[in-house]
This record gives sequence, C-alpha cells and structure tokens, in this order.
Amino acid sequence: MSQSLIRVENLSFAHGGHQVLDNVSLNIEQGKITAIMGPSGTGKTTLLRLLTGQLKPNQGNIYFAEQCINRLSRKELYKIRRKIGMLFQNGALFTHLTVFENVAFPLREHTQLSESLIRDIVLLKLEAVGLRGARNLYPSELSGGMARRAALARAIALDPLLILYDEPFTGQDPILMGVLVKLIQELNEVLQSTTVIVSHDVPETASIADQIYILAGGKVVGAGHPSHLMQDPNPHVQQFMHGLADGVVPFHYPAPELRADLLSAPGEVND
Amino acid sequence: MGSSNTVFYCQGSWTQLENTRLQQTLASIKPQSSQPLIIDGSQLKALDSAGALLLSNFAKHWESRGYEVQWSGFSETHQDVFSLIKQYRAESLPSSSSQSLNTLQLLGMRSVRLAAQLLAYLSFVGIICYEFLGWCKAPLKIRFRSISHNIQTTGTNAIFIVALLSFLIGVVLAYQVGVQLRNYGANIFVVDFLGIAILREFGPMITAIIIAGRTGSSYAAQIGTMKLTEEVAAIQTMGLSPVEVLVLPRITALLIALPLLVILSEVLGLIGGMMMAKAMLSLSFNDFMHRFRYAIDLKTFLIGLVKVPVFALLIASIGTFQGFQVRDSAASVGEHTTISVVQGIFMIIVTDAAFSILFSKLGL
Repeated sequence: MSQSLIRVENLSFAHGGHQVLDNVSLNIEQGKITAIMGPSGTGKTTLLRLLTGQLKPNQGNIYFAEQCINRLSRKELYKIRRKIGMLFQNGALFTHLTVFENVAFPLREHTQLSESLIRDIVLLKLEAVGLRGARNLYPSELSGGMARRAALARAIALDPLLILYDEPFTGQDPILMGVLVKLIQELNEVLQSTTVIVSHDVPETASIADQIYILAGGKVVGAGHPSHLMQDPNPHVQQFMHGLADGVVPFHYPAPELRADLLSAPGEVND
Repeated sequence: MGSSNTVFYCQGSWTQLENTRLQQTLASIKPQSSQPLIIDGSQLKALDSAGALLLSNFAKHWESRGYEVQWSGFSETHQDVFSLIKQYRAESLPSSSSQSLNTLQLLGMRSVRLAAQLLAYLSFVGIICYEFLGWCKAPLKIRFRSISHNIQTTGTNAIFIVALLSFLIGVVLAYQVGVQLRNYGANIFVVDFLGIAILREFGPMITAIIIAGRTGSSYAAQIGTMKLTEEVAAIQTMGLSPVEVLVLPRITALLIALPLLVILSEVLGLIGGMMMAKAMLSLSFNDFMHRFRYAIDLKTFLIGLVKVPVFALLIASIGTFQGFQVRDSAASVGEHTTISVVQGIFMIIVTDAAFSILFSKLGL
C-alpha cells in the first residue's frame, strides 16, 4: 500500500443548522486517482472546500502531507494551496484575461520566472489540453468544454502535487467527456500528481478511479475499487452505482406534507 | 354542464384554461334538497388536476351541507387524476402552525442582522489594513498594472460626467445666490459664496456622490460576479488573498483618482459660477478672479480636500465589501450593488456632517 497524501479523520461540518458532513473519514493515496461520488447535495463540493481550507470543519481533522490543514495559520495555508491545483465546475477563468494570461497568472504570482520561460511553460500546458491555438481568446469566446480545458491548464500551471476536480464531466458532450477522462488520467501519470475527482458521473469516473468513496447523507456509505463497489450489497451504493430512480435515497427533498403546504395561506412561512 | 334531476354532467375540457369559467358555473349551481347529487363524467373530454380539484371541492362543499354525492361515468384515466388528488387532499383544514412575526420581532431580527453586517464590514476593513501592511513591507508586490487600469476606469473615464455636472451645479448656485445678492447690490459677494461653497462642500461631496454611484456600484458588481463564477474561490485556491488581488488595487486607484476628480470638479464649478455671474450680475471674469484671490485662501481649498481620501476609502471599501457579500444568484448581485450605492451615499453625507462639526469645533 502506498503512502497517503491526505487523511481525513472523523470530519463533521454543519452549515445553517444542516449537518452536511457527518463523521467522514477518507484516505487519499499518493499518485492515485481517488473519486468522491454521491448524489447531488450530499456535501461533495463542501468536502473539496474543506480539503483546500476554504472552510473550517466543526469537528475532525484533515492532514495534507502530515500537516493538519484546519490548524494552519493563514500564511502556511496559502503556501500549501500553491501545491494544489483545482478545476472548478464552470472553469472560473478570469474573464478579463486571455487564455494565455489566465494560465500565466499563477506563474506570475508565485514564481520569479522570466517572461520567455513563462511563455514556454504556458504554451506547454496549453498544448497538453489541446488549446495552444486558442491562447489569445477571451473566456467568453470559448465553448464550455474549451473553457474547462483552459481552466485545467491553469490548474496544472504550477505542477501541483494534488489536483482537485469539481464535477469535471458535468454538462459535457460524450466526445469531450472522453477527452477529459483521458486528460485526467494522462495528467495524473505525467505530472505524477495525486488526483481527487468529485463527480456523480459513474461510468466515466469508475473507468479511471483507483479508489472510490461514496457519500450519501453526509456519510461515507461505500469505499473501494470501482469493480468492487459495483457488487457492494449496501443499498445506497447499489442505487447510486446503478442509477436507480428510487431507493433508499428519496426522490423528495424533505418538506412538510404537501397538503399542509397547499393549504397554508400564501405568504406564510412554514418552518 | 347540464343538470336534470340533480344529475350533473361534466362536459368539454375541465382544465386550467377553463378554470375561471367553470368556477363561476359551479358557484351558480344549487341542487334541489333531499335528493342525492350525481356527478357524471361520461361526457368529459379532458380533465387535469385543476379541474379535478375544482370538482372535488364542489362535492365536498355540498357533502358538508348534508347532501349525498355520487360519482358516475368517469373513465379510468379520469379516475386516476382523482386518486392523485385524493392522495394529497386535506380532510380538514390544519391549524396554521406559523404566525407572522410582530413588529418587535422584525425589529429585533433586523437589528441582529445589521449588527452582524457591521461586524463583518469591520473585519473586512481589518483584512484590508493587514494586506496594506503587506504591500508596505514589500513594495515590489504592489499591483501597479491593476492600479493603473482601475485609475483609468474610475478616474479618466469619469472626467466628462464629473466636469459637466460640476459646471452645471456652479451655474445653478451662482444663479440662486445672485438673485438674492442683487437685491442688496452685493453682487461681488457671489465670489465669496461660490468659492467657499464649492471648495469646501459642493466639490468634494458632489464628486463623491457621483463616484459612489458610478464606481462603488461597479466594484460591487464586478466582485459579486466574480464570486458567482467562482473566480474569487479560484484566487483563493491558488494561494492568493482575494482582498489583496481584487480590493487593494481598487481602493488605491480610487484614493488617487478621487482627489484629482474633486479638483477638476471645483475648477469647473467655479467656471460655471463665473460665467453665470457675468451673464446675470455683469461681473467680469477679471473682477471675479481678483475678488477670488482676495476672499478665498488656500485653507478653504485644503479643508475641502482633506475629506476626500476618507470618501474614497468609504466608497471603495463599501463597494468591494458588498461585492463579497454576494451569494448564489444573479439577483443577489443586483441587490448588493444597490446596497453599495445607498450605503456609500449615506456614509458620505454622514461623514461630511461629522467633518463639519469637527471643523466648527476646531474653529476652521
């Protein structure tokens, strides 16, 4: 068993009186692709934010290379974040900068490289995602898939130890989905980095992940290799991996009974 | 809908589109007493949940008045619609569990929210100061490019509007005062008035208010949108401080641009007043300038200018702060942009009043 890069121990997080994560423990191994999966709204993105220290847990600890993320000072946290690349759901490219400048941004911020070296690195990264020719475009001129790839180039600009992907496959056409799957796998190998994917696209994620954690209702309900999880007897895991419409995960968001809702006078708040 | 012997035939489409008409028809029906009420659906063309709800409400209404209601002739599909409704239908009105908040509770909630906002703003100001210290320690880190870009958008691009409005205000002031002064033959004192009023109050305040509307709001909208597109979060995950990257250049830019705009505004305001004085009071430019040099000293100008950096800090910090308050939706961007303008203008006037009190205590 290889060394772990991130250890999450008994993590709990509540937001606005709602328990988002409840006693979650994970182990993310170095150099591997780990996926965190689960239905929408089970706190996957929250977990990512906790991993990067944007949120502080109510309980439990997160260790990144044996450093406890949630107890670091601001300065140390910022230092660690430079080793983490993150791909956001909608790319989050800076709209006032070109693709080239977007990818160059972290390099300019964190290194003292010469302009010609920055140019070389940026072009290499853009080549890796197939967007070298689009370097002078602005984000508004890119299609959704191109924006995501450009953002990926920016995320790997500093050769991060860890790359986090927030729903990389959502809303992509099948071809692009294939491209992204291949890219993620290649980058993980070439950069020898560790990859964490948060996703609910089962087949794509299962095809490249070494380890999958399934979250449901803020808890880890299943963990293991994809092929192993497909046969997991846990009903949560079954429902999710096989995409069943109804099961232990209810179709309805918790609500007062419909009739009570219908009969309450308009304008009243029922809670 | 036809009726004979208390059999009611439903005809045509009982759908949402027809709902109003059906409701009126049903309301006008009064069945004869002591006979069972039969509702027949055999001639029904279409039925949706709205129609079914209407019909079952009708039945319930008469059942509660002691009528026996019988259903007949409904097709299987239509019965399915009824069963869907019945599943959720209330047997009786549940007592309403919530009550609307009274005035005192609302006042309390608002106060708590306001206090929380104030606290958040103060800690935001704290972060700004901390990051400024960082800049002071390492001047090479100062984002000159971003600052100059912001000076361009907040300063240079505002020159025309500030100049025009200030000129017009100068004209208006001279006119209003001129009417009074002419009665006493004290024409020349229009210079004293214009000089003091524009240099001490109107120049700084009018410019600040224009910029609060123009720049404060754009700061809020820019940062708010960046928050929605997760650009702010992206900056954070790159190990950078969003305040340092986004707020400091904007504040610095306004600190530089606003005093310059104020001076421009004062010059244009005086020119406007001067032209009006000539047209109305026959006061030549020469006399105006002569009197101005005699009546207005440098102190007046400086007292007006002292307030300007404070206005700039207020406008920029409130605008950027409101930008960071944006959550989740485009509507929130609009909301916080509005708040930034309202609070900005409010704070400018309050601060100006505070300065007036301070100056009067100091005897300036």
